Formats: sequence, C-alpha cells, structure tokens
Amino acid sequence: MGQNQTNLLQGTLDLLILKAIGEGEAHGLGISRRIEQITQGTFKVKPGSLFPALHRMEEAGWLTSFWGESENRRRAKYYRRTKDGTRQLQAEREQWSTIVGAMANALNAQEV
Amino acid sequence: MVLGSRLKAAVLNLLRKDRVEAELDAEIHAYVQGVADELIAAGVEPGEARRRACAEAGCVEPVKQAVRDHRAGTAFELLWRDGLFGMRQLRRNPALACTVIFTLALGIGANTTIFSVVWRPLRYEQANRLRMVWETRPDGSRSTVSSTTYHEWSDQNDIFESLAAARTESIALSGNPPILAFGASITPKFFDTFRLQPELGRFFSQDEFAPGKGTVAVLSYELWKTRFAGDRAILDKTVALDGMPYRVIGVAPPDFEFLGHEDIWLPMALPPGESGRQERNLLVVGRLKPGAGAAQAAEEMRVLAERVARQSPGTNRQWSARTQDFYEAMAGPGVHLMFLLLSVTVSVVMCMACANVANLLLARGTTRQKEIAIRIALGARRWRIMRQLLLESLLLSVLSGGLGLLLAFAAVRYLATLPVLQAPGLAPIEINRAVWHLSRFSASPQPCLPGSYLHGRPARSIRWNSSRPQAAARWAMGNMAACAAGW
Repeated sequence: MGQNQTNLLQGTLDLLILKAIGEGEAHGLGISRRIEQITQGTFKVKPGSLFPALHRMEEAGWLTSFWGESENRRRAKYYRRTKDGTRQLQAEREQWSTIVGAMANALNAQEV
Repeated sequence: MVLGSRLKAAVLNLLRKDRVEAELDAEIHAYVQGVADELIAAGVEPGEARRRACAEAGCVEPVKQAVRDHRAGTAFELLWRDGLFGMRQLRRNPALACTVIFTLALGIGANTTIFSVVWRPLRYEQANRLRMVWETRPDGSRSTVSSTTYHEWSDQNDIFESLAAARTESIALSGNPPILAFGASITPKFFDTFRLQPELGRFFSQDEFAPGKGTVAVLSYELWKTRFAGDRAILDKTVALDGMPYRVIGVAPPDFEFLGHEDIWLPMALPPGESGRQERNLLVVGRLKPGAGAAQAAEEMRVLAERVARQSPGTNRQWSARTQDFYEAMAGPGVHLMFLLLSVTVSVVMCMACANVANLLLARGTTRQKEIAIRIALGARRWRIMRQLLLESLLLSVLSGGLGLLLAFAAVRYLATLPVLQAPGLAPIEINRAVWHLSRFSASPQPCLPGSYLHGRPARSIRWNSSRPQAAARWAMGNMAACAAGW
C-alpha cells in the first residue's frame, strides 16, 4: 500500500460506503474500487475494514444484501441501500458539512 | 430503529450460525478471486495473481475474524460459551462445587430465615410510639393497673397522645352451639391508640361508655368470619352475651389482638371511684405524643404515680409506675437482645461461609494457574480471563443463592407454624425484605472477586506457583477481609 495512503478518518467509512453504493447495487470489491475511484486514490479500503463495516451496516438496517453474479460470471454478494440507509447518508452528510465548515473557520481564523 | 434491527440480526446470526459462516466465507473468497481476476486481466500469471490478491486482502481468516468481532450477538455468544465452559468446570469438580454451593446456601438460608423471623415489625402504624404502662409494687415487680389509677393517669399525663386500657372477660356467646368467647372490655381511646379502622361498621362512641349504655359489641374479624360466615348484615343485629342482648356495631380488622386472640370487645363502664384501686386488672397501653421519648415517658409516669401514692396511701404507698417497650411486651422480655444476638450469630456464620468459600476458590485457582497462563500465552485478553472467572463465581453464587432461598422458604414455612414464635401484634412470619435479601444474594460473588482479580494479572499467574506460601496466605487474608466487607 502506498505511503501516501491517508488513514480513513474515524466515522467517514460508513459515509463513503453509502455514497459508493449509490442508488444501485455493488459487491465488496466493487465498493472498494469505487471508493478508490471517487476519492481519486486517496482512500483505499481494505477488506479487513470493509467487510466488518458492511455487515455492521446491514445489521443496522441501512443495507440489504443478495447473492448475484459478478461481471466475471462469479457468484458475489451484492449490497443495496435501504430507505434507512439513504436517510443515514443524508444525516451523515450534514454532519460532515458541519465539521468541514467548522474546521475551515477554525483554520482560517486570525491567529493571535 | 437501529437497535431493533441489530437485535433481530443478533437472533438470526445465532440461530443460523452455519449459514452465516458459509456466506461469509464465500463472500471473502469472492473478493479475493475478484482481485485475482483483475490482476490476470492485467497480464499477471495466475499463480502470482492469486498470491498478490491474497496479500492485498490480508488473507481470508483475519478478515472473517474482523467481521465476527463486529457481528451482532457475538458478545452474547461468547458469554454463553464462557458460561457453558464454567458449567463444565463445575461438573468436572463436583465435590468442590457442592461444597461451595451448600456452604453458601446454608449461610444464605440461615440468614434469610433468621432475619425474616426476628425483625418482624409490629403491624400498627408508627408502632415505635406505643408503650405499655405498668404499676410497680413496693418490691419493684410490675403489676397490672387499677382502673381508678388508670383514669387518673389518663386525665393527668402530658406525654401520651392517648392512653388506653383493656381487661379480659370471659363471655358466654349464646347460639348453636353456645361458646365461651374470650373478650375484652376496653376504654374509649383503645382502638385510636392502635390507629385502627374498623373492617365493618364503627367502633364505640363516647356515650356508649356511660353506665347502662354499654350494651354494644365489636366482633373480631375471625369470629365474624367463622361464627357469622362473614355476613355483612351482622351490623345492628343482636347477639346474646352472658344471656344479655348486645347490639353488634362493628368488626375489627383481621388479625388484631392485644390480650391474645380476643373474640369480642365491649365498652368498659366509667371509673368506679376510690374502691377501684384495689382491683389491679387492667393492661394499659399508650401512644406517645410526637417527639416524646421513652425516658421522658418513664419519668413522667413515675412522677404521676408518686402523686397518686401520696393521695391514696392506703392502697398505693410505695407503688410506682414503669413503661415498657411495646414490642418487647408483645414478643417477650429481653427479646431485642436475643434478636440481636441471633442476628449477629447468623451474620458471623455467613462470614465464615464466605471465608471458607473464598479459600476453596483460591485453592482451586492455584491449580488452574497453568490453564490460565496458557490462555494468556495464546493471546486471551485480561478482560476475557477475568470475565470467565467472574462468570464461574456468579454461577456458584446464583446456584447457592437459589438453593439458600429454597431452604429459607422451607424453614420459614415451618417456623410460621410454631406457636412459640407467635405474638399478638407482630406481622406474620414470612420471608420479608425480599429485595434486601436479593441484594445480599447478588453480593455473594464478592468473596470470589479477589481470587478472580489475582488470576487476571498475567505476569503473576505465570510466575506465581505454590512455592510462595506466604503470598498465598496474604491473599487468603485479603480475601477474608474483602468478603467481610462485601458481605
């Protein structure tokens, strides 16, 4: 793994996963690659973090899963956002904006 | 919402464990395979691709373990498995388990029984303000009170809210069959002193104590139920007592007795004058005014009695008065000290049981050092080991607590039938203060705690062995101190 790999900020993983799945459906590898893509390679989610998060979110009712066939004609477990998941994405997105805004204000503030 | 969803997931995970595991395995393998497929498509040779995919995924087993660690219900499952392991440990060493369980059960049973029987409250409202009042003979022995003296006390004292008196009467109750009932004639404030409300009807009114008006009666609840079948129409009916017609005006509340199982109460006619000093046949009970103490009451009654003695030297020279704790009067002299001794005794027994059990567990702990050291060496966290040992302690204490309570129930049921333990006015014998005892029962794992703590320290559990007897002795002492404190 690259040296410049930024550690996933605590609490951002759920947000990234919900966003990466989008309106459609995706399997584990797909989600991992999609996150890499939409963050332009900044975040690489390893299976050791990805799968516990996926299972936890499914248990929380934000995702549902089903078995399907991948592009390579292999069996894969696909995840899809539930209504609760979409709501959760919205909530986390707002929370994230608040944090970003607050951090920006703090860092731009005049130093005394 | 999330909680409910996770709860459901936890139940499903536990119920369909095999399927959940198989799916997890397939899912992770699919991921690795997917990575390998990408590499092959990029021109990497298949064997190398698989190796690199596995390296990227961090291999399958650790990932699966990471998922399991976060899975809903895992904590519960682990706890359950620890519990089963604890049960197996107990079964493997039945002699120890039985000794511990029976020792604690006997201790808990004895304590629950004794405390239930001994510290029974009086059933009257604010019963600690009730006091018996006696006349004392010139030699200091106590005597029942003459009716003239009672009336003077009642009128002149400033310490009792109400002072009441009762005298036993044998009354023939006509009917089929006729019975000789145990009755009491009482003074106006009698029922007020005990703060009683009638079960049915009313108690005596002031004018019913006037001469010639006293042909009214209050029945005991028990007599009403047995003799009159609990008939509510008994009020205003006439019963023949000693051949005279009496009108029933009320029924006393259940279980009320003062002289001992009275059936009928009648109004006592008003004072007979100076002649009444000779006949000392009244039991006198008073309710102290709020804030008045026992010592104050004793002093006041002594002063009053001295005044009476000066006024009527013929009958009362050198007679005095004394008050007595009502509970003691009902339950027997010296009862408080006896109860205290009993309570201390069973408490000491419980302490000894705890100390013995703590030492037994400590001794067993030393034989388990190796097992624990191995578990720690294999990577068990300190909390896991402590939890295991605590769970075993908890199992023992729950089993012994349950058995102890069963013993106590049996003992109390037996004791409740013993007439020697009955006393008028005392609450019935039953397991009371259940909550208090439950807290004791949940506190009983405490003696086992220091032992668990000891083995929770990895360095010690590896280094420590039976060649360090002084340290063991020190821990045993610590255990005993802790159990005494915890108990």
